[in-house]
Amino acid sequence: MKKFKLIAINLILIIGAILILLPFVWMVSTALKTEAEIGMWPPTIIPKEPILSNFINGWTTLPFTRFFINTVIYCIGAVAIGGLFMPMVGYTLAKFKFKGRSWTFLIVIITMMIPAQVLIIPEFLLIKNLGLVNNYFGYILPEVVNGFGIFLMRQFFMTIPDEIIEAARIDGSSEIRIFFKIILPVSRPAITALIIFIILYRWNDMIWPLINTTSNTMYTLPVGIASFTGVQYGIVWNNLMAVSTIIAIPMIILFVIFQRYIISGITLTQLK
Amino acid sequence: MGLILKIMKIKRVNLLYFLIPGLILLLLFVIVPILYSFYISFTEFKSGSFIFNGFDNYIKLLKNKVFWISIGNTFYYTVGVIVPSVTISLFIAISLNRKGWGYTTLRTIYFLPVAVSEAVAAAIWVSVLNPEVGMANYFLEILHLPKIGWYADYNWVMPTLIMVTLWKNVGYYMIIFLAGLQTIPPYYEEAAKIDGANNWHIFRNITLPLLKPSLFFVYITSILFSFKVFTWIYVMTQGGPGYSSMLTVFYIYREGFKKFQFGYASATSVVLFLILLVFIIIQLKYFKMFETKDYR
Repeated sequence: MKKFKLIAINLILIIGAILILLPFVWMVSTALKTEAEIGMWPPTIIPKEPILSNFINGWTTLPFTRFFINTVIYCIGAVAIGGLFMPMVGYTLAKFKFKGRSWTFLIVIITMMIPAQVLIIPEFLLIKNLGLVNNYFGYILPEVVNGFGIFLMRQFFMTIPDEIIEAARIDGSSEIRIFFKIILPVSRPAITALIIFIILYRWNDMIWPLINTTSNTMYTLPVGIASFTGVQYGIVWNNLMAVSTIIAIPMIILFVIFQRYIISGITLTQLK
Repeated sequence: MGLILKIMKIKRVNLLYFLIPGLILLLLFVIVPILYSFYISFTEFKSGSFIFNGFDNYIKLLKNKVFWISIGNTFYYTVGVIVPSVTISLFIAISLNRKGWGYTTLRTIYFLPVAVSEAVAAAIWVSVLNPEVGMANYFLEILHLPKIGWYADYNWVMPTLIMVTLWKNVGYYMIIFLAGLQTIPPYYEEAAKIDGANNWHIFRNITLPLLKPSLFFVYITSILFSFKVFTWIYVMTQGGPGYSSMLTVFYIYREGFKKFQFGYASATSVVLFLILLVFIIIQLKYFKMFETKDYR
C-alpha cells in the first residue's frame, strides 16, 4: 500500500514535469517549422522539414542584438549601483546607532510594501523632468535602491557578531576598510542573493523599459518580444519562437549551471 | 556637513558615506514618487501642466465601471493564483524533499520556468494556446474534449492567465518550501511515528506549523506578484477580450500612457495601494491568529 502510494505520487510528479517541459518543446519545434507547417492541423510536434532560417530572420526583424546589449547594460547598471549602495545602507542600519535610525528603518519597510508598478506615473514624470527618457539611467535609477534590498541586507548584517567589527576597530582599521575588507567577504552568500534578486527583477521587468523609451533602439529584450506579439494578427510564429529560443536557452543553461547559488539566494531572501 | 553630523549625533564621519548615496536614491526614486503620486492624484493634466481639481479623480474613478471590473479581476486573479500556488508547490516540495538523481532532475525541471523572462514565457504560451493552430487544443482533441478559446475567450481568459502564472511561479515557491523543510529536524518525524502518528498527523501537526515562516513568505510574495502583474496582460491579452482580463496595473498603464490622464491614473494607483495595504494587514493578523502552540 505504501509502495503504491509512492509510485502514484512519483507518477503525478513526472506528469507535472512533462507539463512544465511541453511549452519549451513546442517553442523549439515551432522555431524549426516552415510557414506552411505551422498552419497545418493536426499540428506536428517534431517538424517534418526542420529549417534554421527562422533564427536569423526572427533575430533581424527587429534589432534584437541591440535589445540584448541594452538588457545587459540595464542589469549590470542595476547590480553595480544597487549591489553597492543597498548593502551600505543595510549595514549602517544594522550596526550603527544614530538618531532617526528607527524612522529610517520604518520608511524602508513601508517602501517594501509598495509594488513599483503602482508608481509608474510619478516615476515617469520624474524621469521626464530629469531628461532621462531614452537614457540608460532612466531605466536603471527607478527602484535601483529599494526597500526590499535594504531590508534583506540589514537582516543579514544583524547576524554578524559585533565583536568582529570591534576587533577591527581596535586594530585601527577605518570604517570603510572594515566594510570592504572584513564585512563584505563574510557576506558573500547574502550579496550573491541580492545580486540574483536584482538580476531576476531586471531581466523580467518590462514596464520601465516600456514607458521610458520612445525609440526602438532603446528597447530591452522583453519589450522587443512584446512588440513582436503586440499585434495579435499576423504574428510570424516561427520567427517569434526562434527569437524566444535564442533568448531562453542560454538563460536556462546559466540557471542550471548556477542553480546551487540561485537556490541559496532565493532561500536567503526569506530570512526574517 | 558638520551640522548634519551634530543633528544626527553621528560620531564617525565615515558613516555618512555609507548612508547617504543609498538613501538619496531611495528618497528620490521611491519616496518622492510616492508623495508625488498623492499630489498628482488631486490634479488634472491639461496642456502640459497639472491643475488642482480636488477629489474629482477619485469621484470619477469610483463611478467608473472598468475600474471596478479591474479591481474584481485583480482579486479573482490573486485568489486564483495564491490557493493553487501554495498547495501545488507545497505538495511538490514535500514529495521532492528526498535524495536521488531522479528527484534532483525533477527539481531542476520544475525550476526551469523561473529562468525564462515573463515576456518570453508569455510569447511561448500565446503560441501554445493559440486557438487555431496551438498545441493545447491539439491535445484536447486527442482526449476527445472540445477545443477552448483560451486567452481569446471571454470566459477562459482569467483561468488561462492563472494557469500560465502557476507554470511560471510554482518552481520559485517550491524552492522556498524546500528551504523551509530543510530546517525541520528529521527526528521530529521519527519521534511522531514511534508515537503512532500517521502521515496526515505529521503533516498537520509538525510540518505545517514549522513551515509557517515559509508559508507566510509565499503568501505575501504571491499577493505582491499578483497585484503588480502586467507583462502577461500586455503580451497576451491587452486587457481583452472586452475588459475580461483588465487588471488594475494594466488599467493604470492604459489610462496614464495611452490616454495621458496622469491625475486619474495616479488616483487609481493610490486606491490600489490602499487596498493592497489592507490586504497585507489582514494577512498579518490572520497569521498571528494561527500562531498555535510552541512545538519546540
